[in-house]
Amino acid sequence: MPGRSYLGEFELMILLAVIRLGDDAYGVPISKELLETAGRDVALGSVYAALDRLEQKDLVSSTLGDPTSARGGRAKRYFRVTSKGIREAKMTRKALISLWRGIPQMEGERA
Amino acid sequence: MNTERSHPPALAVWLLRRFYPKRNREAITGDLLERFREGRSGGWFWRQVLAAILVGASSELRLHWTEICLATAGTALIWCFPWGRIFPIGAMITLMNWGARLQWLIVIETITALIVLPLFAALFCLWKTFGWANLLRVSFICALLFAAGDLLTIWWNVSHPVVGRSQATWAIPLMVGWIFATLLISARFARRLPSPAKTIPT
Repeated sequence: MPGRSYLGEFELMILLAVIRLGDDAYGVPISKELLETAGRDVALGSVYAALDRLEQKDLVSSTLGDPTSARGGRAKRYFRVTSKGIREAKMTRKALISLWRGIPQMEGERA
Repeated sequence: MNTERSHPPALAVWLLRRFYPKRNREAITGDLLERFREGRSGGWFWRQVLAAILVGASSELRLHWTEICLATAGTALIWCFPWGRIFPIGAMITLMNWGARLQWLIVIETITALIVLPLFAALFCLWKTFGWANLLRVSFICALLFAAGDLLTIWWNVSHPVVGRSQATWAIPLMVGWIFATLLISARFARRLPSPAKTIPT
């Protein structure tokens, strides 16, 4: 499929976290979401690196918020999934479910 | 919120602001400060900063791989070229003691790096990616590779009779200082250079 950008496991997890968080998706809640939902304690630097890759693939877009005193006057960078990002997540899910179904050892388990 | 909680390790913040890529610098600094004020430790802050700098550096490497390949090839060319046969000073420096030799090495390498810059510029033109920013980046990477190479050379020569330990003791910190200064200057200049990455309106 020409022009399609494939997602790595970590990128997919970040993309799903951004979708789950909706309008409140910035570095801190994304890393907390990964810890609480997927049990992955990840460095914020890795989160931003993955978000940059997703943004380069047009799967998420970002906007800068207002600086707040709680953050030492630093602005938050909010991320939002694009329609292409939603489409890509659905396609990846479909592909993974298809692969999961073909494994005899996994019979009876939900994907 | 006490005073200690309000102030994360100053050196870690300084390193983050100097060596983390510009695009997410403000956001990640704010995020780390937010988590720190929620009760995370100074050790956690340090780990996050060092991880962020390493991840940021690897992202930059991926982003600027053409410049890095070019600089590596150019440095190898300058390093291996028999400059001593062309410039008498190049041959003379091998006869000098290490104190004088090191200074001349820096001068010779700087001159040869300048000679090779047009070659870099021509290659960029050939690939249709010429830009002064790209050329500057290649020069910085070259300077870093030279410094690292010189450091290794001195390190190697310490175990040989050609260099006395007393001469190496000041030469090694000097080279480490040079590498650090080059990194610092590169980071400072890189902030002013346009990034080749796609700019996304905010």
